[in-house]
Amino acid sequence: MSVPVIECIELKKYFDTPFGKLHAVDNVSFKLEAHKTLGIVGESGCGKSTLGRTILGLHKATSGKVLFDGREIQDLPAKQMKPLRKEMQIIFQDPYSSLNPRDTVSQIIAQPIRIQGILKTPSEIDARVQELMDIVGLGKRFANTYPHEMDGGRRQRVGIARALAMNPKFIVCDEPVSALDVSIQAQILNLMMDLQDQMGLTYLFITHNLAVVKHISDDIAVMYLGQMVEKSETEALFKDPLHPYTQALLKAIPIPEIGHRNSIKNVLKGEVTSPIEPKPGCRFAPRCPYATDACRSVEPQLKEVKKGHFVACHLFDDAKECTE
Amino acid sequence: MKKTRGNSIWKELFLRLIHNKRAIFAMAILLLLILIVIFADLIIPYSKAVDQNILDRFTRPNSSHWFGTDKYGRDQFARTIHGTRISLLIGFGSATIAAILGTTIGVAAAYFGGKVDNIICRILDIWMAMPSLLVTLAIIAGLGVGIPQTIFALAFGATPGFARTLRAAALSVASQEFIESSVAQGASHGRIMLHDLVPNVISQILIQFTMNVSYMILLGSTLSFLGLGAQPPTPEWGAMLAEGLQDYQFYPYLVMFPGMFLALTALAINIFGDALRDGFDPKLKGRA
Amino acid sequence: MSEKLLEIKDLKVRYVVGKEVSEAVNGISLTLNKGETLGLVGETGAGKTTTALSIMNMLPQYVSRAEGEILFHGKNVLKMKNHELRKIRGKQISMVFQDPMTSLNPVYRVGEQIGEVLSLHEGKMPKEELRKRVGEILEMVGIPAARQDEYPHQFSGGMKQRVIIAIAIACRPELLIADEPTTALDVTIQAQVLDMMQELRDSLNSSILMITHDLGIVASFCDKVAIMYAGEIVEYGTLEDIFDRTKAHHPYTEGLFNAIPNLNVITPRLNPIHGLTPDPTELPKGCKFHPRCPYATDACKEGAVPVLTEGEHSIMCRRVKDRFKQAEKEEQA
Repeated sequence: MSVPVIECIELKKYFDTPFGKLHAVDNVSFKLEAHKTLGIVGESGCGKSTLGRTILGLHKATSGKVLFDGREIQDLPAKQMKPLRKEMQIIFQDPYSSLNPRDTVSQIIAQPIRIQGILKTPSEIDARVQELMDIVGLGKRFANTYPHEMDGGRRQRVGIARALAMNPKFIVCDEPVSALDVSIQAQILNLMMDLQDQMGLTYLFITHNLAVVKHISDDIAVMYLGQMVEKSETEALFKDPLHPYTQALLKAIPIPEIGHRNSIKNVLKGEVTSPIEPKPGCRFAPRCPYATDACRSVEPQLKEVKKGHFVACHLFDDAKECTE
Repeated sequence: MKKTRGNSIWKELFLRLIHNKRAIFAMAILLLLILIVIFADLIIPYSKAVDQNILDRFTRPNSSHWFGTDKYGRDQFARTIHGTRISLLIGFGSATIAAILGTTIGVAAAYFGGKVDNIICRILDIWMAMPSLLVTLAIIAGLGVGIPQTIFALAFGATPGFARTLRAAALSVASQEFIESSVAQGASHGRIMLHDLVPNVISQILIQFTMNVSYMILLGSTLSFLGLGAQPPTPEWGAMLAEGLQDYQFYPYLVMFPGMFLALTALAINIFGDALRDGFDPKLKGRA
Repeated sequence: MSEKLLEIKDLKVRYVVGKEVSEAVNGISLTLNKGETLGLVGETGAGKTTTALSIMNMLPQYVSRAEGEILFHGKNVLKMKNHELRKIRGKQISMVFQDPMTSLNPVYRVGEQIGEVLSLHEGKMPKEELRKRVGEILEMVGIPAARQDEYPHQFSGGMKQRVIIAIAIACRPELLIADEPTTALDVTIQAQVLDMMQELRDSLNSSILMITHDLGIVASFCDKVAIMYAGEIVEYGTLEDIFDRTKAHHPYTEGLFNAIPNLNVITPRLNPIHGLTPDPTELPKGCKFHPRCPYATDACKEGAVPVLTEGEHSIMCRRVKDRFKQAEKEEQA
C-alpha cells in the first residue's frame, strides 16, 4: 500500500478556557490516500475546522501525530515547515475575511509565490498569476480590482487560485461553499472537482452540508464534539449509517422533493452538550435514543465493523472486528 | 449583492476630503504652515527674530513691525514665523516617534496574542499609570534641556496610549482568515505584521497621529512655558507666550499672535484628523 | 373558499442612496390565505427580505420608496399611521429574524423580553399572571418555564431562536413572517425548530410567510411557493406545481433544482446556472434572467415579460407559453 498523503494518529487539540479545557479535537486518527477526498461532517462546534487547522499546523497540536507523506510534521520548527507549506494549502469558508482588503487580486494570488520565492522576476510572477486566474476562471480584467469590488463566488475563486499558486498536493477546504448562493455553489464545486482531476489534488473537505459532502467525497468521517464517531466510504455511509448520530443527521436533512411534507422528524431531543471538560462516556449519550448505562460511563472506541466502515458506538460492541 | 465601483482606498479618501468643506479649510491652513516652515527665511530673516534692539522695545503692531516687538525689541512677526519651525518640529517629531513605537507595540500585542499580549498590556498599564507631565519632566531632568530631549520626552509619554488604540484596532484584523492564510503560505511574523496588519489599521494610525501632533505642539509649548523646552533666544510659540505673559496686561499683542497661531494650528490638525477618520470609515460611504 | 389575509398588489421598492437607485422589488403580487404557509424562495439580493420588511412597513425611512398596495385584512399597511402600525406589529403580524445571536437584547432576562410584548399589546397585568403567561409561551416552544429568569447568553443557538419565535407568537399573531429562521442553526436543531413551528401553526392556525433559500425546507413545510429573482416573482404555485419536475417551469427554477446536489440521486457533475445575479442598480432590460438563461431569444431582451397562468400555477416566461397550451390541449382531448 502506498504511503497516505495525510495520516493523523490520536490527534488532540485542547484549548484553555476560563472554565476548563475545551476538547476541540479528541483522539482523532485517520489516513487519507493521494487523489482522494475525505469529507469531514459535523455540526458547528464539533471541532471539524480545528482539525483541519491542526493538521496544517496553524494550531499547535496538544498531543498526537500528523504525518505528511509519512513524515511527522506536528512539531517542526517554522524554518523546516516553510518548504512544506508549498505542499499543503487551505481554502476558507468566508470569502470576505479570507482576502486582505488592501491588496488587489493579483497581489493576493502572487503573495505565496513571493513568500516562497518560487519565481524571481516580476514578469514571471505576472505570467503565473495570469495562468492561475485562467485556471480558476477569473477574467483578466479582475487583476487590479480589490476584493470588496467582487461578488462572493469570484472572491472564492481568488481564494482557490491563491491556494493553487504553489502546486500543492493537499488542500484543506474549510466550508468553501457554505457562504455562497446555491447557483454559485455548484460553479465552485465543479471547479474544485475539475482541479482535483487535472492536478491530482487530495482534499480534506470540511462542511456541515451533507448533500455537498456526498457529492464531492470518496470517504466521509462524521464528527461529534471533537471525536470521530463514524468513518466509511461515502455510498455505504448514506445507505447504511451505523451510528445513531449519523442516522439522526441524515433524517434531519430536508429533501427538496414532494412527498416529504412534514417529513422532518424531530429525532433528537436536547442540545449539544458542552465540549469543555466533557464527562466520561459516550458524548452523544445525553441525546441518544438507545443510550444505556454503559454509554454514560465508558467511552466507545472507533472500531471497524464492516470492511472500511468504522463506528464508535457501544451498540456494536458485540459485532466482530473486521479484519482483512 | 453588493458591488462598489472601483476606487482605491486612497482615491476614495482624496475624493471625500475635497468634498468636505471643513477638511478643505484645515488643509489650507496646514498648507500655509508648511509654506511658512519652508520659506521662513525668505519671508523675514532669522536675525530679526533674535537680534535685540533696545530702542524699539514694546512697539505696538505697525507697518514695520506687523506683530509689534517684545521687551528686547525683537520683531514678534519674525519670532512667530520662525517659531513655526520649532513648534511643528516638536509636534510632528514626537508624534512620529510615538506612532512608530506605538504601532509596533500595539500590532505585535494583537498579532501574537496570549502571553505576549498579556505582558505587553501589563507594561502599558504601568506606563500609563505614571503621570505623563511628571515623567516628561523627569526625562528632561535626566537628559538635559533641548529640542531633541523635548521631542523624546513627549514621544515617551504619548506611546502607550497610541499602542493601546492600535492594539484594539489590530485585534479585529488579526482574527480574520487572511492572516491565517498568510501563515499557511509560510509567511514570517514580520511580513504578516507589516504587510497584512499595518495596512488594515492605517486609518487608526493616521487619526491617532494627527490628534497627537496638535496635542504635542500644545504640550511642547507648555514645556517651553515652564522653561524646559526651547531655550531663549530660540523663537518658539510656547516660549513666546511664557515671556509675553509677564507683560500681557500692558501689551496684550505679545500673547495674542503666537497664541492665535498655536490655536489655529491645533484646530486645523484636529479638523483634519476628524476628516481623515470619516474618510476612512466605509460606513460613511456616499455621504461625503 | 378560504379567507384572504394578506394581499400584495404590484409592490415596488427602491432604495436610493446618493445617486444610486437600487431596484429591490419590481412589481410583485401575492395572496396569502388564512392558515396557509407560503415559501418565498430566492438567492441573495432577490428582494425577499425587502418584501418582508414592506409587509411590516419597516423599510428604512429615508432611503426607500415603496409603491403599490399591501392589504392586510383589506387595509393598506403602507398608508397606515404610526400608531396604527404599532398596534399591528407584534400582535397581528410578527417577524422572526435570521440571526438568533443578535436578535435578543443581552441585558434583559428572557422572560422580561417575552413579557414586554405581552404587556405592550394586552395591557398591564399582575406580575404573577404575566409570569404564568410567559411560562406557558416558553413551554409552547419547548423551553421549561423555569428558565424565564435566565439571560440570553445562557441559552444555546437553537434555544435562542426558539425564544425569538416565542416572542413572535406571544400574541398569537395571524401572520408570522420568518426570514431564514433556521439558516444559522445546525440541521438537527433546525429539524427541532421546524418541527415546533409546524405544531404551532396547527394549534394557532396562523399563516406563515417562510423566507428561505433552501428548497428542502420549502418541500417539507410550505403549501404555496413563490420563486423570486431580481425583485420579481418568476414562478408561483402550489408545492406540487413547483416541485413536480415533469411540469413546465421557469428556467431559473429549473436551474435552482439542477444546481443543488441531491442526496437521493448521484450526479457526476452539477449543472450550475451560469453567470451571476444581476446588480439591482443595473438590472438588465426585458426579462431579468435572460443573460443567464440557456433558452433566451432576442425577444427576451426587450419589453415586458408576460405572466402565464394555469390554475394557480403562474410563470413569468415567454417560453412556457407553448407548454401550457399543449397541456390545455391534452386535457381537452
